[in-house]
Amino acid sequence: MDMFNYTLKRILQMIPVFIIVAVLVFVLIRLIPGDPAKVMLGERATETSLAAMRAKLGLDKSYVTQFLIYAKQLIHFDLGDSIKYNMPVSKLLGQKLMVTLSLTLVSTLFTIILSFAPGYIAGIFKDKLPDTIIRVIALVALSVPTFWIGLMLLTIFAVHWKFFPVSGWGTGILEHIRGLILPGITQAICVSAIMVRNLRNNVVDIRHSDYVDFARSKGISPLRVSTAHIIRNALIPTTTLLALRIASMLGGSIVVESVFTLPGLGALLVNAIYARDYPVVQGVVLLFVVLVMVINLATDIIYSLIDPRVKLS
Amino acid sequence: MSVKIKKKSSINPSLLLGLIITSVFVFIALFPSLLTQYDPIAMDSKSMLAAPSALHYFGTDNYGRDIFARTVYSTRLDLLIGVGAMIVPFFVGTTFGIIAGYYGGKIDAIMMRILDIFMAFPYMVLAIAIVAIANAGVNALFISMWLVGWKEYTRLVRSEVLVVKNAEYVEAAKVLGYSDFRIITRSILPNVLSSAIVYGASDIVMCMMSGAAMSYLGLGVQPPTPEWGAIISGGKAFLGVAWWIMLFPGIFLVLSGLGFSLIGDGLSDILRQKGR
Amino acid sequence: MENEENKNEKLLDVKDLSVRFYSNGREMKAVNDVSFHINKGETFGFVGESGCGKSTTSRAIIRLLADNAVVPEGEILYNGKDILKMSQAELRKVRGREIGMIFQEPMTALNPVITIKKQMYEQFIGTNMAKEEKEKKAVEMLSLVGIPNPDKRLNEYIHQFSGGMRQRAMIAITLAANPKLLIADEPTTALDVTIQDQIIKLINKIKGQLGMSVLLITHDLGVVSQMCDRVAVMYAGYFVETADTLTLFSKPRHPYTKGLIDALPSTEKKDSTLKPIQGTTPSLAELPPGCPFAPRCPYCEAICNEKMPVMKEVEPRHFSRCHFSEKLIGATGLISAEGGDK
Repeated sequence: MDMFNYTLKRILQMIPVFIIVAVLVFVLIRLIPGDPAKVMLGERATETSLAAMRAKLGLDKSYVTQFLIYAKQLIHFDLGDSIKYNMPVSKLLGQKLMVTLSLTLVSTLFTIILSFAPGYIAGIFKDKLPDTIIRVIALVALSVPTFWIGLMLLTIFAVHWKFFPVSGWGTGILEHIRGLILPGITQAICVSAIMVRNLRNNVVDIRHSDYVDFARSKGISPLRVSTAHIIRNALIPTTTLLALRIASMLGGSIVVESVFTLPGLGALLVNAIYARDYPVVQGVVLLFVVLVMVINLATDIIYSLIDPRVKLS
Repeated sequence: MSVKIKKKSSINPSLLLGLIITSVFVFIALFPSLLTQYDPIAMDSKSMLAAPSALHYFGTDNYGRDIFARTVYSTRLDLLIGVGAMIVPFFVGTTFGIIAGYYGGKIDAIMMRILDIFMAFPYMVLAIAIVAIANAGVNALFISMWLVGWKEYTRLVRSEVLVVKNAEYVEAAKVLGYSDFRIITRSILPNVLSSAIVYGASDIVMCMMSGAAMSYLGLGVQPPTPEWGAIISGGKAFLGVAWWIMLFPGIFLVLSGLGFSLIGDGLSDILRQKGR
Repeated sequence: MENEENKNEKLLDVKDLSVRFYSNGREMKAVNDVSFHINKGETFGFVGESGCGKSTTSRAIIRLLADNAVVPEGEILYNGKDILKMSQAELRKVRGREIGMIFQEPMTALNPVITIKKQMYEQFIGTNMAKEEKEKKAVEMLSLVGIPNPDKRLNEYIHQFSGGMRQRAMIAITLAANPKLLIADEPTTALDVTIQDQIIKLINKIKGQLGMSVLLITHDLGVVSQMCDRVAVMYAGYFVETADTLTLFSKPRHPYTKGLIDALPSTEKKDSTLKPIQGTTPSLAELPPGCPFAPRCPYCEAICNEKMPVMKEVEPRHFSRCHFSEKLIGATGLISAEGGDK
């Protein structure tokens, strides 16, 4: 099946899942205890003003009516208005999406830089010193909590040595990049550990496979054996794994954006939960779900491109 | 060219080291009062934000609370969160995985649909949403991680069952007329359990980290209960001036995580050598 | 006269080769004291059970052994130069262009994610061939091995080929480098009998066309009879008998060889039971001081367990490693000495 038809088929399959997710999100959000009106107006607000606020926010209607409004709006890609910021949720999401996507991109780049070479080296020098050192570092990196290492990096490189901003991501492309470096590295640490271990194991398996021996028997240079055969084949499962980890990095952005005070979707979600800003929480969660689905689809397509044995069906 | 002839040592070094480290932390968790005479929630306005010293090994925070005491007393809760949040998904997820994999058909189809729906959410997003619903706090953490954590076990166990199910010894057992229950417990379970256990060790680490992260965000363990993530959260405001508040609980997190990770790695090595 | 001289020109001369493997603290004596030579244009066979050292010996020739292998002694002379002493650069020149190798299982021996074309072109690295020349040669090689639609199939992957075609593709790739010696490691073991036959005929034909020598490794005596000019029988890392194929089958002079021949099912003697060789092969880590075949040998006497027999020339160009090889004079082989084969 060619890529276009496959994509179409997958999108059609995603729709029922999305519908169930949308219903689930609606129910979940309504289950969050607390009254948005009270959060906005404060503890001392009078009952009348609270009632007025609730009416304004559409919270006085029955759940069924609320759901119907929600569904109707969704079909028109309208996510409602933010209670806290008084602007369309979709506009809010658009602003923050760029930040989170940039963060994810930077994290992915750092992951590749930090993991591909060490993973290969560890595999080639299996059980020798380079392998042991790399594996120990990877093991420790796996046990390091992301939010803590972020704070440590912040303390050292932003507060103590003022290389990077302490918070936010500034204005302008250069400032943005500067503001994303520490958060990017922070997120990359944990994911790189997973990548290094995966790549190392692949290289170890492939290194002694028949086709590598056959290639060597042809008298081609060790460099070519490494690149055209070992690395090329070892990277296939690793790349697919990386694509899947990108989806979980989206969730991780919640913590990282909080630590580095980045104006992204994750920070938006946390703040919206505190503010009981239903429409925003709904919108962010739904957007995350869509992003995950898109990433999964892209992963499958990329996998079929790099491994000719895999056919899209 | 020289080749080293290595004698095989009897016990796996990762496993051994992991068990040692974990035992140390279990000891700390069980007997915190042996290690410090300070009360973790007692405030002392006379020594606020004091740097580490002989008097206060890890310094004090802005309320004058001894960080060493707070860190040590947190151990019990953090380890409990790690193990407690993992154990329920371990059993529930494994059971679902075996049922879905073994019986296949409609049951499996329904299970896969449910999995798809849960898989559509990034871990943290769903976890935070559930914690918020469950009113934050420690119980909320458990509920949230139980609800989000089972899917990995189900997926893992299910695919292992699918492989084992078609093995000849299972077919042989069926031909001999053994009951489903017996086939599952005797032939299938031992083989799939090992990968679930190895994953479980790394899951303990993940649960500890997630619990700490959510407490850091203020959605998990509530003050003044000491917990490593919560302590770190309290230290953020004093980033530049009192780095010790954040450093030491974090180191405890890393080390305890390392202990469990080593156990997981050691088990994984041993099980792999047993020729799966 | 000139043909005789050519035939006796040694392409490969192996002397006293031994290979040891080290694993789990144990030393495995995989290849012991092996000597043989291969002349230009001839097919030489190694035959023996699994684990007897035949693959290891063949891999040692182009130094394609695992990391835990050591060659403590021996010489491998190719055109007079010792391969074991060559530098990496010299070795790479020998591999592929002088000595090529085909493996038992083409599905795993070829890279599954690279096209046949690319893997064939790897043989042309270092030559100054133009793009059209490479393509022409590649198509030529695929046709030579009997693959239809060669231009289309060049751009395919190994999983798109069927069983016999895969083996042919691998042969084509190896031959693209024009090797003088082809090492064929159990090329037919993984194939159906009918396809086996095709591949055997193919190798024989190509060998003649290209004037190649072949080192064939197999456990199948039938394949030996169809392909080899001379054979060496291996057991527990030792050569136990070396001879021309005809001589080996008609006048075996080692109990193991006789055992192998006797174990073949016979179409003549109906209603007879199969005669396997009793016992099992010894562990290469625990070889006894005497003859490794002694425990299973019907002619075994005291000296066999104490002293390792040396390779003796029992008649011109026929060697046997046995204390009592003369006990087998007159033993019935597969072919009666007067002529007429099975």
